[in-house]
Amino acid sequence: MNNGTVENTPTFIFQIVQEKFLPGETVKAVLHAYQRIGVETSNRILALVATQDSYAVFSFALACDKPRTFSDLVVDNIFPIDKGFRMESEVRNTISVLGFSLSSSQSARKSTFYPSHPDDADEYTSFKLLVDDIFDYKVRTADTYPQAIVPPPFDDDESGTGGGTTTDESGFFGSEKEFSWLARYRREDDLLAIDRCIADGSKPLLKGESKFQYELKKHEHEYIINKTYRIYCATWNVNGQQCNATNLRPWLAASEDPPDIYAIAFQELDLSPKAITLSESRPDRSVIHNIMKSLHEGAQYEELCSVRLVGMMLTIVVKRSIRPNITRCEKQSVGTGALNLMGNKGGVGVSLTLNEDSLCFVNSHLAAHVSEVQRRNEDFNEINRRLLFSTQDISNHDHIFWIGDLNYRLNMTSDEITDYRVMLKFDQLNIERAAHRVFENYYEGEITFQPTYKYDPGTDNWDSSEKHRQPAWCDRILWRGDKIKQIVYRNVMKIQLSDHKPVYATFLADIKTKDEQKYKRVHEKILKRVDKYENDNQPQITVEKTDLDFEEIKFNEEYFRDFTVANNCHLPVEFSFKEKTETDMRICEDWISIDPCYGTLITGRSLSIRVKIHIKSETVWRVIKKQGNHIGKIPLDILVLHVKNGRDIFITVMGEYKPSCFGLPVETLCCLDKPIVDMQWSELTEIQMKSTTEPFKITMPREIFLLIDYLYRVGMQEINLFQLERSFKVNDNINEIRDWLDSCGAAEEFPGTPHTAAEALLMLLESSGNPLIHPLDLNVLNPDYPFELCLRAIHKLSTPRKNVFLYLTMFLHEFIEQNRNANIEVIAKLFGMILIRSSHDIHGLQRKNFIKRFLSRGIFNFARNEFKYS
Amino acid sequence: MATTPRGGGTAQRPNGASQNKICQFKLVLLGESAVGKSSLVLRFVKGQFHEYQESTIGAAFLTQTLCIDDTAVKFEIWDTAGQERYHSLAPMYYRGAQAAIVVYDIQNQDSFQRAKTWVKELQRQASPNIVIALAGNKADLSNSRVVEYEEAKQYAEENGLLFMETSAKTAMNVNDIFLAIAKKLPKNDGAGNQGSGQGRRLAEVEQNRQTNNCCK
Repeated sequence: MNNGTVENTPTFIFQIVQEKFLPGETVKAVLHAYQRIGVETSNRILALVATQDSYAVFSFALACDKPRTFSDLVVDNIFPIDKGFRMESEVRNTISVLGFSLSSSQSARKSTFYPSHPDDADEYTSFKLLVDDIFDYKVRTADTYPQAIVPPPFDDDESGTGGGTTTDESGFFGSEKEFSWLARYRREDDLLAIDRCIADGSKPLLKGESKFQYELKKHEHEYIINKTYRIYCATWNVNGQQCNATNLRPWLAASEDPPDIYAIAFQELDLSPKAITLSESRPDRSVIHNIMKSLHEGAQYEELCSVRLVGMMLTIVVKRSIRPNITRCEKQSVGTGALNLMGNKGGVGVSLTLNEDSLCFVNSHLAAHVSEVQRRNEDFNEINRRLLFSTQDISNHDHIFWIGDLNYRLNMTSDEITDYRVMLKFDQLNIERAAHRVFENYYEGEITFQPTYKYDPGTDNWDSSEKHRQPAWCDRILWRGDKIKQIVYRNVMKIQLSDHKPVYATFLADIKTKDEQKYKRVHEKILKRVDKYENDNQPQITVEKTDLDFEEIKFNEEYFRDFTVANNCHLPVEFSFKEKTETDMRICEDWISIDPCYGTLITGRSLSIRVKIHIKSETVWRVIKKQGNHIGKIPLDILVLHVKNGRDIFITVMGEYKPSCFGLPVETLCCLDKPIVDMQWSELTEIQMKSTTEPFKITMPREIFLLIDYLYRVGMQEINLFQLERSFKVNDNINEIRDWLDSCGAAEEFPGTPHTAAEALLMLLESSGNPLIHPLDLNVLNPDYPFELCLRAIHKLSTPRKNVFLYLTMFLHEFIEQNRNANIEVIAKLFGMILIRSSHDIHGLQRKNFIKRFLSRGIFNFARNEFKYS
Repeated sequence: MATTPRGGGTAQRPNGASQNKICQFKLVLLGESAVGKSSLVLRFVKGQFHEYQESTIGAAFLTQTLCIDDTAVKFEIWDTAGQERYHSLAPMYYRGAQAAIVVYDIQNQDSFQRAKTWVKELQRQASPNIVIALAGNKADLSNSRVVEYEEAKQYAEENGLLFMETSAKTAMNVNDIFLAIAKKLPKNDGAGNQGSGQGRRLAEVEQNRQTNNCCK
């Protein structure tokens, strides 16, 4: 059967998938699907590809949601359709998504896919057609390779449901040679594969530990070996009889070699209504005690765990020597009796991890009576749906053993017991399984023993009661998993306590196990690869320059420099400017601003970052400190441009702060003998050092004198000359006044207005690092403190400070006297804030009142005396 | 009602097989400009050497893992800029570091003196348990040597430093010095012992990264 898709004009998707392959390798079908990886889903394209000799299913990871070229497809996995190839339906009962899993002898673990429905679905082959194509191929080759087993997920013919395993080494489906073409597509190292979704930031890069786990898993085949374990499953419906005194040895010690793991299942341990209504869940210790006495004598055993629900009990016993290999064990139970709640029917299960594989044992007691086939199937589904372990449901285990009184009967009217092989054809379980209505993907060994039900207790005679129940194979053992081989499957006629005969089966199961030596090697190799991955996949940013030269910087002027940052790497880059210490959360000096100071750049993008410098009166003294006695440009600040998960880049802000009267202490200003504009920082720092010891050249700073003098001459009648709002702070005229003051202004006309002059005065007073008045004795601020003592405090200030203070207060006093609009409250508050800055928290009101005391009364006499001293 | 196996406790691996512990350590390289810090890292991490290695303006970050017995020691290496102008930023990188390599150039006496001041700074300001190694780099150019091996060796001994002369160019002692550090670092699990010299298990590191919580 050929679907004809390929023969018609191939769709775009077909074309780009075909481009991945060489001539002679024909893409037969293309399916859009997704895989669950942890909690994430990842899109895949599955392609069935044929050569003359062999077929294989490729799974491609996609670099973007809609592949545009063949380079958007990255081979993620290859499933050669060889003898070990399996395609199984995965029914996740909790979510109604139809999934299927693929596995082959060359891939370590089966992979589960879910067909998806992209909006361009008609570009793809339908799921049905893909399956048909695969089966078409399988059927054609089945004659050559009669051992091939590919259970068809949706066909209803009877092929492929027989038992058997693939461990048989002979007659492999297709030789290595037929699949040699696949080698070209197996990628040794896809660590550097560039995923566009990662580059555009829509998908995160795997980090450290997760990458390590991912790689470890991918290289599993290099260190995982199969180790064979003997598993012994046993089930018995005891029909409510006390079995703690029965000799169980014929049932539990029947194998030649000592088993590694026992899974022992009972049903109807207790038929009392009390046990049913109370959902008895305490394991029956007396029965377990009897079990432990009846095991194979060739080894020491311990009980791993037991789980019970009313009459059902499942006990897992392990060889003491393998106990440390079991790293996880969980138990769970589900009642499917009346209302799907009662525990008289249902299932109990144990999930465990042995070495690297997960195993699940289920003991179930399904609905009774010949007619209840449907109900039994439903019970099976219900148990599958509700028997959940912490991370997985039953179907997610590598090996599953389902045992118990499944209660399937015979669809026979005649109670003549003839040939068991004939009778088995009427076995409801066989019929239901063949019709894919129950136990999909499970195997059962051939039944070579007589029905296990129903006997007259104490005898081997069929039920002689009135009901005259028809014999049936109620008690069964099934398994799921490719690496399990059944050795025996028997009932035990000798044990006659119940109306059921016990059943047991022994298995050899290949359990994935770490080869410690190999694991160590792979582990080391992967650590190195992860290092390489991390180092090679480090987000990188390119900056246009690492030095930003601001050249000359003047007080109160705004400067900016722009520089470009670009992302030329294959990953998105998150950058930010980083704070330099844990205590100081600033990313730069507070007279520098950066915009933007963080951002994200996807591959190929760039961005301009603006760094601004604006030195204001509050911060100028810090800049002066930084400039020190250096002549010319210095690194004013170093910005740390941090790339998330990457390196840091240092960006140096270079510049020279030009000397100005703003920011200098009044003492220094009183020592100058030439205009500041002509001075170097080396001279200024020298003067500053000397100013504490040497006599002042002038009694108060010329700059303050000039401003006050100007105001005295021109501004005495000005309205709102001193305002709390400081609305002239940002005004170009201020900078003209700055230059005029710094060149001593003698020659030229004052460039400003009374208002800008007043603002310049305020800025000059507030820009010095130390406030004009920093009272050691805070009592002076107390309104009740004698004014005489306040005057003494002023007297103690350095001469320039004292003179500035006196001159200023006299001027302000005069101003208030003369100017009818002047508000003494406002002026006292404004100057209080500027002149008295103390590290102590001095209330604004106190500062205002202190200044007010000076402004409200004439201090001419005091001032005259003081000036005399200086 | 998931339960742990009867008898409780975490299961142990059979035959005392290793759990292959991964310990992560922060290592910082310090030293004067142009002594070969980046070259040492490049040699150690990528096995390469560039005759003209660009000056590092910033702090480069690379990882490399060494396996010692059953423990994988993963170094998170911060290669810092050596230029004096960036000195004030060095604490950002040696803060929280469990190991440091202080590098000097055997042809340059100043760089040796500078190395000594770095050692002093680390002993004063870095984590108290920091493992410090002194590397006299460019050992392939011993013809123009000015810092004597014995002198440096003696200094290292007096200050409890690991010491090796290295050559990033010939690879001499490069792996060895990292290996020596790895051996000296404490590798116990550190549960309840959050000492700053402690390596962190990788899982913890992941968590810390997510919360942007720099190692303490």
